[in-house]
Amino acid sequence: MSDVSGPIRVIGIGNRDRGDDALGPLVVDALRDRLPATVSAVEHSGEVAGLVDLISDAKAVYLVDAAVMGLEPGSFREFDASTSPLPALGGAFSSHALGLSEAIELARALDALPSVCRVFAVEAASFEAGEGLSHPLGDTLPRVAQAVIDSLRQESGHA
Amino acid sequence: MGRKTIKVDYLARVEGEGALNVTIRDGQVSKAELRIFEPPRFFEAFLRGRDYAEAPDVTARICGICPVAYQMSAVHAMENALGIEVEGQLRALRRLLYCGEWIESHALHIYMLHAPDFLGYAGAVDMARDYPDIVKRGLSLKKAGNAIMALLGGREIHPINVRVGGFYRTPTRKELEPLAETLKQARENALATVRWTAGLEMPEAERDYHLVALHHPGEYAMNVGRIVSNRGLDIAVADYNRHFVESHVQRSTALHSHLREHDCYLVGPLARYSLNHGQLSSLARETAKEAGLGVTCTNPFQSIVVRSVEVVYACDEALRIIDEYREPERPFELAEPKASEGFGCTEAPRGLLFHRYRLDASGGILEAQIVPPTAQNQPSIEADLKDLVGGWLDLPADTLRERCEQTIRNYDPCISCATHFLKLDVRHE
Repeated sequence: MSDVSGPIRVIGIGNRDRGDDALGPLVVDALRDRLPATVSAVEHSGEVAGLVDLISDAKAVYLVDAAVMGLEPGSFREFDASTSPLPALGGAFSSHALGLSEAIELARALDALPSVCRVFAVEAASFEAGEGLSHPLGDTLPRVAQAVIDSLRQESGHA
Repeated sequence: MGRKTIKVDYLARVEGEGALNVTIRDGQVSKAELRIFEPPRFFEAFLRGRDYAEAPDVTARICGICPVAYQMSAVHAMENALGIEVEGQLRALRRLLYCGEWIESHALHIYMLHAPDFLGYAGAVDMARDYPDIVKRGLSLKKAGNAIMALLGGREIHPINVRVGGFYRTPTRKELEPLAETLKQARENALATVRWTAGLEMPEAERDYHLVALHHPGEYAMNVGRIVSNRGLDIAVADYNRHFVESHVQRSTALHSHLREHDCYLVGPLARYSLNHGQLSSLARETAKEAGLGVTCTNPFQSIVVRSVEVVYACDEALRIIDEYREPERPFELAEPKASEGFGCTEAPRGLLFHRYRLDASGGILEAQIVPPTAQNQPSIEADLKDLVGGWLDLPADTLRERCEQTIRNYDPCISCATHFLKLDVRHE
């Protein structure tokens, strides 16, 4: 795992070896040199206990994950999860069996969700083992990275 | 009374996708079918043609919840094929890694997936609102398992440090020391977990199982041993296919396993505990006794208590291994490829996990066979439902459906793991 010290965190969720699930970690790679010292970029597997920790002791979190939302591969959506659950909670929103939406809701239930919690979800084409990022997601990646930067700038005055 | 069907279209809080159909005719359960419809993952076919050394990393990807089990069964099968034995501190480190997986996986199941059933919640999030400290304890316990995985495996999920013959890198004593502090706290949480689960209201449901688990004369079996049962089975791992058989059933993409002579059987915590109780640490045995468990346990609902006892044991055992750790001279034993066949069986958190590989002279994989615990338990899950539902017919419909789901979650089934590639043979004449 990369640096987790910053109270403001960009968390890229996924697995580099599972096709489009690599999106989160690759966005973290793309952002690492573009963030100020007060913002850390963290790669995470999506494992629920670790993710709750990362979310709940931060001042603000920006989460990036590949998702299944029934959109065209490469489409991306930005959600404000600070006040309401992600759509389709309990369904196949995230690529992780018990992951992002559950971690956010657990943090909320434990009264530990930061006041800024934004989720950038990108519709995946494939989660096959060993496959690289698909073309639609490769094309979307720079836009997602920029959207995270814009959001940080707007909400926290950082970046 | 006519015909009644309990239908659960989507089983929540299990890994993978499954569904359940129970048919009741004239007050009797005539059919209980667990349907698994996760797409097959082709791992056995995917392994063919790859090098023997790739199997631990490839098979670890089958499941995000029990990757160590897949790695361990794979490396043991390969070492069996290539004629090498991993002993001493390397063997102990593998046991430590497996302790990490048991702690992580059991904590997830106990607190996030199964406890909500006993307390009447739809899931862990709802439960956390009313029981925040309990859920925090579960998350903390799980993180202790993660810490072992991260240190020994290289990362928390899908570890990458295990190789045929040992590890790519072994830890220093200094690196292991902080882990001991984490595990001492985890052991306290594990003890509290046993007391808490023992206080949950359990349905009365004793079952007459054919229990199957590994047994080792010198330790609570985890990584190695013979396959034994409470009905006299006692065989070497290499003889697995002589006694167990897998068959396809139309409703499911997972194969069903049977004992050739005795039909269905149970693997997992209840079998391990009942067959190896005397080898638990004294603390784990005392805690089990305080929780009201006997030396055997055949109430499937009490599996949540047995898992908690196994977490106490895993913390105890991990601390013992860390305490006795001496840095090994080298991280692995070298293996020479040869044409061979090898067998490996370990105790995944959900039960027995069997691997078999056939290799060519250069170490290429010619054939791979993987039998995960959920496939072995699938007939037993259906038998539980058939046996138990008849006694619950007076319950309101929603409660009955929830009880059926809870019966399945007793097993912590991992449907992702259970799916196999079904070979389709098309003949043209």
